[in-house]
Order: sequence, then C-alpha cells, then structure tokens
Amino acid sequence: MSTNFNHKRIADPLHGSIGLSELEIKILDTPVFQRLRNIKHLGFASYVYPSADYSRFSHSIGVCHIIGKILDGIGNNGFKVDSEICKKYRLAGLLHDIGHYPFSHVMEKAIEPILKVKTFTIDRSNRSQDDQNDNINGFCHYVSHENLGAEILAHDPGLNLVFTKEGINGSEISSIFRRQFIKDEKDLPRYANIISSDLDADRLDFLPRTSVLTGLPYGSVDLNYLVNQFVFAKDPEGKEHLCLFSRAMKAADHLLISRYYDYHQVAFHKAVIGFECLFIDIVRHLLGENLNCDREYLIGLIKNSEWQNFDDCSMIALIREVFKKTNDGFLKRKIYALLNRIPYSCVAECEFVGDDQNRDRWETTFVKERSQVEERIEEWSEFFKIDKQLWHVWSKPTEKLTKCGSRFTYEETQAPGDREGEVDRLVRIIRKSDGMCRPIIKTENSLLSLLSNCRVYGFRVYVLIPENMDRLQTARKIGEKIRNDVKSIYWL
Amino acid sequence: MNGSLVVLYLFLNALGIPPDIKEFNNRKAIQKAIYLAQRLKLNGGEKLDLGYRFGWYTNGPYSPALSDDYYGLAESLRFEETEHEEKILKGPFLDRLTEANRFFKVPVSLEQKGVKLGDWLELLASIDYLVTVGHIDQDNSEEIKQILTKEGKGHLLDHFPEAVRTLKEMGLWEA
Repeated sequence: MSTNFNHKRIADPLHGSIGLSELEIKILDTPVFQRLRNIKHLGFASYVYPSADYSRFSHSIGVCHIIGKILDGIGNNGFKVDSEICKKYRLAGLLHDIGHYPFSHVMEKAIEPILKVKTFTIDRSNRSQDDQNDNINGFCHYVSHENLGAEILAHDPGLNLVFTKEGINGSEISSIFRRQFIKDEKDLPRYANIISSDLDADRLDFLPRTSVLTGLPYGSVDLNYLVNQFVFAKDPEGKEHLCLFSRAMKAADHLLISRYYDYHQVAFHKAVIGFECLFIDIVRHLLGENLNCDREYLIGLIKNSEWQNFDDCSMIALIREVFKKTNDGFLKRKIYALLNRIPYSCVAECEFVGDDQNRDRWETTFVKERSQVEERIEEWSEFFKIDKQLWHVWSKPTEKLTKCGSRFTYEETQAPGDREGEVDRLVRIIRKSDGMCRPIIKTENSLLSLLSNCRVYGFRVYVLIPENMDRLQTARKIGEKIRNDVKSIYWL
Repeated sequence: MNGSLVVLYLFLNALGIPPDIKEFNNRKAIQKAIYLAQRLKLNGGEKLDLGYRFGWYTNGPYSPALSDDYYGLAESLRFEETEHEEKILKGPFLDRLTEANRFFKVPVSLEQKGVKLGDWLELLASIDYLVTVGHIDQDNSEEIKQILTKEGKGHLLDHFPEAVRTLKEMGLWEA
C-alpha cells in the first residue's frame, strides 16, 4: 500500500505547505529530532544576517520534501519509482543532518584536528611522552557528523522505538545518506545522487532557504523547475546515471554558480569568519577540560538519551560558565567578544582568481604572499601592542565550483577504469542529439565548462582588537601599515 | 596544515605510501591503503580507526572525506606547511604500521607482471569490503569473484588466490 504523505502539513517560508507521512511525523516528534531546532544551519551567519538563523530542523524537513518532489518528477518523466524507495529516501533526507554538532560545521572544524592529533601523535621534541601512553585506544576520538548520524540511527532509544514499530532498518537509512551500499545489491544506489551530489536535495533546500532568510539574492535557484527535470539516461560508455533534461542545463549551471556566490557572500563573509575564528579558539581551549567530544563519550550520550541536550544553547551556556570561572586572560577576552558580538576584525585581504593551466604559478604566488605576511605578524603585533595570540591569517579554501572539478580535472578520470567517487556525483545533462548524458563541466554551452578550470586564492589578516582601543580606527591603521609594509601584494 | 592532515601524512609515511596524488593510481593506492590500515588491529587487539568511513564505488571502497583530506594534504605540502615535522606517531601505532607496511607493496611475482600498487590494493580492499560490509561468505569465493567481475575488476581476478593469502597474513581473513 502506498504511503500517505499528507498525514499532516507544515507551513514553510520556502516551500509553502509541506506534506508529511504519519511515520515522518513520529520521527519529528522524537527528542533527538527536536534537538535540531537548536542547531543553527549557518553557524554564526545570523550575527551578520539577522534572519539567517534557520535551523537544521526546518532544513531537514525541506530536504525530505524536495526528495519527494524529485521522485514524483522522475515518475512523471516515465520512470516508475517504487514506493519503498520513496519512503526510504524521504526518511534519509529527513535524518541526513541528525548527527550535526552544535553550530554545525564550525564545531567540527575546531574539534577534528585536535582529537585526531590527541589520539595518534606526540610531539617530536618530547618523545618521552610516549612512555606514558599506557592507555592506547586506536579508535579515533573524533567522529564526523555523518557517522554520528549513523550512530544515532543505530542507538537512539526514541528513534529505535519508532523504527521497531514501523519495521524500519535504521542502518539502511543511514547507508543512504552516507552512500554506503554495495552496487547492484538493491535498487537503492540508483537514486544516491538525489541526496548527495553536486545538485542534490540538500543544496536545493539550503541555497534558496539561505537566500530567503538572509535577504541576499545569490542562492535564488530555479527550484520548482529543477525538481521536475530528473531522469535516467546512459552515458556514451553505456553506464546509467541520474541526470537532467537538456532544457534544464541553464538552471543547473545557475545553481552551481549560485553556490559559489552563496559561499563567498555568506559562509566566507569577513565578519562570519571573524566569529568562527573566535568560536574555534574558544572550543579548542575548552576541549579536554570543560568539553568532551570524544567518540565514546558522545555515543554514550546517544545511548542514554542525553544527546538531545547537546546543542547550540548548551554550548553557549558552557561558554558563559567558563567566562565566569576562567583566569585565562586571552580566553576571557575571546569569550567576551563572542558573547557581545565583537568579531576578529579583517584588517587586510588579498584575493585573486587563477586558471588551472597556470596552477603552479598561482600557487607559488599565493604561498609566497601569504608567507610574507605570516612572517611579519610578530613585528606588527609588537608595533601595535596587540599580542600575537590575537592575530590570525585565514586562508580561503581553494575549492572550485563543482565537487569533482574542485579536486581534479575531468580528463584525469577518463582513462579506462579511472573513476573516483566524485565522478559519480557530477551533474549530468542529456544531449538532445543522441539522447546520452554527459557531465555539465564537459557540456560545451555551459559556463561551468570554462569556470570549473578556475579557482579562487585568497587570505585575510584578522585581529581581535582590545576593548581599550578604538576598533575601527585601529583596524584601519593596522590595514594601512600592512599594505604599506608589503606593497608587492595586490591587496583588496 | 591542520591536525587531521598531519595524522594522515604520518600514517601514509609509516605505511610507505607517498602522498603523491598526481596520478590516479596513486590516489587509489592511498584510498585502499587507509581502508586496509583501518582494518588492522594493534598488538593488544584494539582497532586502529582514523575515522574515515568507506562506501562502495566503481573502484571499490572509497571515502569522500579521505579524498578531501589527501587533496588538502597535497595542497598543504605544496604551500610548504611544515606542521607534520613537529609530530610523530605514538609508539604502538608506529610499530604496528611499520610492521604491516610489507603488505602495502605489490608482491614481487606480480610486480614483474606489471601490476600497479593501486590495482593490487584495490583487489585486497574490495575483497575485504565484500566480506565484512557486504556480508558475503568468505568461503564462497565464486560469489566474490562474480561480484568483482560485475564491478569491472575481472582483470584483477588472476591474482585472487594471492590476495586471499595476503589478507590471511594480514590477519583480516577469519580462520
């Protein structure tokens, strides 16, 4: 019997009215899903764009809804979609972000390197530490949000109660959002790109949602058109892919370019990064003393139904508590700044776009320029009497526009048998003339075919200006000094 | 270079796998080497888990997060970052990986036939994945071979007996 996806309807500012099944509503009502209300999707973006404080809760419902629309569209385009596939993929969409840490990705950026180093390494200069390793445990202390999601689906008592009653296999659902299945095992892998690819339900929700709630136009993609353009077609080698009709090429091109602008205007906004630097500094101070993010501890929280208490609010409460107790002057200053919305100030910025044909030249330039700046931080910190602990040189991730093209050229994947996971995730467009699909980055009339060979290089100098100095004046003076001292750099 | 990349660099170094990603076969070797390293156990029986999770792709077990990291590592090395020089692996990890690194080379007999490291490790990792994640009975070698053929790895099947022998020596094949 087919599932009724209109058991209840929920109003949403992006999608209008969203229909959900009885099972989906039961999942929404579990404490572990309700926790997502208190996980901001965009971390500290709302410190800059006041309404950009939507949660993983509303985004997850949106992704579930979009997956349903895409599968309906595939059905309308002549491919029968099994009702079980629809049910499982919608659940995977609903639950794909269930394991997110407080403040989403920024928290993972803070803890992952520290926990990995703690598990596996010691300082070269202090080999005697090695004798004290009486408690070696080869499990990495860090666990990513996707893997935490799988642990939640396996162990959360509330979710498991629903799964057991409804005959749902939690690990099958997590295998969908982690793309962990053996091909041809079932029909499930055929649809994997709906939930994880260059043009997936996740992006189709967060780009326009961010656009609506920031008030910025960049992520305003042609959502309702795109969800109806998915079909299956073979590539020239005879391999089947989920792809888009040729008429949707411009809309797909636009989405991929929108993503670039969305990242640069929201996620990499100079003040948003300024707050992230503060938060990362603070979390690194707290780890191991006031904050435990070790894998086994977190899995314990899940099993004991305490995971739902680990959210943005609990992190801010912890940070407030530490502020009252700490005698560490730098930590206190950084917490004060975060709680009172005083970011690291971006005092100087350099950025340029380079093509991959001349990649060596661009990278050499970037490394040289960044080193020139890093080498002088100490000198500038003494000149302005601002401790060097309050300075940061932040490098922009040098990603390109597509998941595949950001790491290697499409040509590299074309030798026989020479394919990697990302190639499976490319946006593919059907060519009208032969009915076969090809990657958008190899489609002659797409902008992406040119832009996927370019990447942005950039770095910024950040300073947390002490409260006893005029922030704007001091930031301006520091910027002027940096630009004067290193004139060879093309400063913005 | 962030801590995750430092740890990845030290692991690859201990396994004798260069962090060179220009060639596809080298990238494949890194993917499969880390997959296999995570399946090793320390001498006290503890697992050795870097935190990467693998799905099944065209070339067998593959982790997108690991891919992110080795591209990040290559970039950090090109950008002349040196944080990895300040750290070493803790003794038990270094000892275990050093002890195992003979398995992360192409056997001489196959090397003479032109088998590349990436292809060899792909075969080892794929068989192990099918048995441990795909729950295919390890005694049913015909079924394993059938899936490998279907998945485009038929050209590697000549080396199947050698691969099983190696997996046994590595302690990854239950007696």
